[in-house]
Amino acid sequence: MSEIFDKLLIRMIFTLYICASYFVFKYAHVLFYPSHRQQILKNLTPSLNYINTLTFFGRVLGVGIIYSALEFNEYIGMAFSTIHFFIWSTIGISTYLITLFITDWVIFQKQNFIDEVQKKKNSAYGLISFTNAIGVAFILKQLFLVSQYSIIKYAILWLITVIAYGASTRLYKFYSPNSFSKLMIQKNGSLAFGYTGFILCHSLILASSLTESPILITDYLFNVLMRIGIGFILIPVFLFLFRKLFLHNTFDHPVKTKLDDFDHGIYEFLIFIFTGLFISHLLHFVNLNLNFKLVALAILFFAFIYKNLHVFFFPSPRAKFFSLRFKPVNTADLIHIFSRFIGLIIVYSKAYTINSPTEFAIWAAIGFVLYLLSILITENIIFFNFNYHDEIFKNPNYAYIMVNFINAICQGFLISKILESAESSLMNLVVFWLQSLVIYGVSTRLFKYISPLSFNSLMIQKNIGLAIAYSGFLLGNTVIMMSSYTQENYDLTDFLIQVLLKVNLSVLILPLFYYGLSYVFRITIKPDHSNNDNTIHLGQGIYGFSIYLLGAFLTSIIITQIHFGTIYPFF
Amino acid sequence: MNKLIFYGILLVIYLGLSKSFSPSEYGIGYINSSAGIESLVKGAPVSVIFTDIHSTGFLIKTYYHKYKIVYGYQSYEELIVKTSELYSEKQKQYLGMSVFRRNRNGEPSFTPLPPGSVFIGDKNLGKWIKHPSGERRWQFFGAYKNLVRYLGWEDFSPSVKLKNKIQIHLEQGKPFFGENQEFGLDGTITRKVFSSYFERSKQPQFSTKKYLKRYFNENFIEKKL
Repeated sequence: MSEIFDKLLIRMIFTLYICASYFVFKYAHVLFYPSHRQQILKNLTPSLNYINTLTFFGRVLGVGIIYSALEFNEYIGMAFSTIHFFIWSTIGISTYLITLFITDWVIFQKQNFIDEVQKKKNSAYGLISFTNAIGVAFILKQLFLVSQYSIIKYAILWLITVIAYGASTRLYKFYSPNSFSKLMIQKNGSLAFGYTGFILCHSLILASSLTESPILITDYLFNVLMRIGIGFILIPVFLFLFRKLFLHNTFDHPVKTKLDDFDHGIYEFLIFIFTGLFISHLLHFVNLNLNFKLVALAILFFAFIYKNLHVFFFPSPRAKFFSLRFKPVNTADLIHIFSRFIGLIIVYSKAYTINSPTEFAIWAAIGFVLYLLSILITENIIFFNFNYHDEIFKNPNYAYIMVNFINAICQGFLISKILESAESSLMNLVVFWLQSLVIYGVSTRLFKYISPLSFNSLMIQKNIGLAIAYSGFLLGNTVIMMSSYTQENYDLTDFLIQVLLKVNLSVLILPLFYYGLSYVFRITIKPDHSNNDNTIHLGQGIYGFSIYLLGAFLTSIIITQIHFGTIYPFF
Repeated sequence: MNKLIFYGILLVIYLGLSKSFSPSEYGIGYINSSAGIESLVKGAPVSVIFTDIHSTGFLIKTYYHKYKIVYGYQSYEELIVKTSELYSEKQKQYLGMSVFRRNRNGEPSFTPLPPGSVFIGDKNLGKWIKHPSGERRWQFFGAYKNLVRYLGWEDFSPSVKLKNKIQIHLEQGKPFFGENQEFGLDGTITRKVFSSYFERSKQPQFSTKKYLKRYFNENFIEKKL
């Protein structure tokens, strides 16, 4: 029993250590962003200025993503591991803040933080700044993983990726005819969504260009530059193909057939994300071998199949079967179908080792079926009070569709993880799938315990703040579940028990982060339900999203990345 | 308050399930007294030698003892058990000694004695040989010559006089470390034969300065691209 107590204690101490490192980050952030000092020196009230909350928590979340690449090996000694973790977390935070400083300057050359966030409350600025923080974090996390704790490799790769990323942010004018600066001044939502998708697309491609670990740095650099080049060239090609292959850019609606400014922004966001994920996935097979063709074919084939099944599952009045291009009824319908496409790419995102085309085809089909079943079941659990036709076709509810979108992506991640953990055993796959469904289903009902926002009543009111908070909750649960399934599979029963134990451990660790980080950032929650101002809930929603997802990322470090060494005493 | 109760219940469930399903709990016994070894060791004649101590854990330590079970008529086995800190500290001085034995008649005894004391004088395993000095010393038969190696006797050659001393200590229940302190924590033979404990103890203490110097050398100076 003492061993188990000791391990739990180490995890708790490490949790406190990470919270303390966030305390350091809070003040380091002011060094790089002196204009943001109000976020640090005063109590942060998310409901007062949601743009402020969005920009700040984008960075806080980014640090969590970078931390999730670090490991802690207790068996080589607590002092060794702590110093190692301290050095690399300091390097991570410093480079992250420097990178953000550079990229923010490149993106927002004519905008000033105080004017846009504090005075004008420019939502376009906030959204792009948030996405930039997340995109940079994904790239730096990958840098951590491939640099093998060599600062020289890390510095060289960092320099290359920052130049590539900075340059890529200036390419938006080739994709959009409108001026970035002009639309930014107008707080244009279309620009915000389109540019957000554009940034994420490039950061995903850059991160996936750094997949393998370098052996010879010169060869590796050539390889990385080649991947980045191929990835960037493929973006316009695939954008063109997907627009022509899958979707009409008009609506199948009796009144509104043309996309307005907002619809166009959403369309651009979705198609950029889809393209970015597709290319970043294919960059793993950059030598264009058989695997490349199989994975690309599987994604496109099942996306095409789903496009027709979607019409069958959710029939709209004018739906047509087996049409080449899908014509959505409205933006909500567009987001809905895209969520499945994106989920499908994620389902096949871990299919790197393919033994034979037949085996892959069978597994791809099984993955597709399980994915659809998972979405069907989980949507019925989450939205048991809501009807699809009412919320999408009759009176579009963007809160509903946002949660729906995130749920489809979460299921994609879970199915991909389960396909990986099952190790080609159908028995394992079925058991893991059932177990994950039960855990996920139960977790979706626990939102009321962590948030003051009422799901049903606010969902009826189409409250976006609630949708954002609930999306963070679902993503956080997915992060925890994925890390629970990250373990060696020697015995089925033992594996299932260990998954349950890790989930239980997460429930013990997550509140420590949740309350610890709220204390570190001096968050003041002032729920004001009497006020109908939607932005109050937006601020709370963004805070809820960030703090829960951040807590989940950090919890995943505690439950999977602290290694205690051998289970049996060798002496 | 309800949240705290819920948290407490989850904590208890976690600890209980972890203990029940922890791989380190499988097949490893726990003892906090010499009497605890008896049930873990079968057969006779047998001599159980305490060979090593180890502790794991950061703040809450888990103590392990390693024993070598030497049987009269078969090869030896090794046994690792968990134990308490108090018992571990108390037993430390008997390292390299036989802490439990069962004679041919199945009678157990727990007095710490030189390893293989139970075999000395057993006419089925060996005989007394008269040396040129006139002293009679114990020698195992050829079929059991490996017992010397199993027991880690090295150049230890028991005499009749020693056998008598062992018998007296056994009857009095007093530990016996050998005529020249060959066994036990400070024993010359123990330090030579069961050296792993002493080698681990000799490991240099952690130095932050040295660690940082090595760390920066490896990562910033010597790292080849």
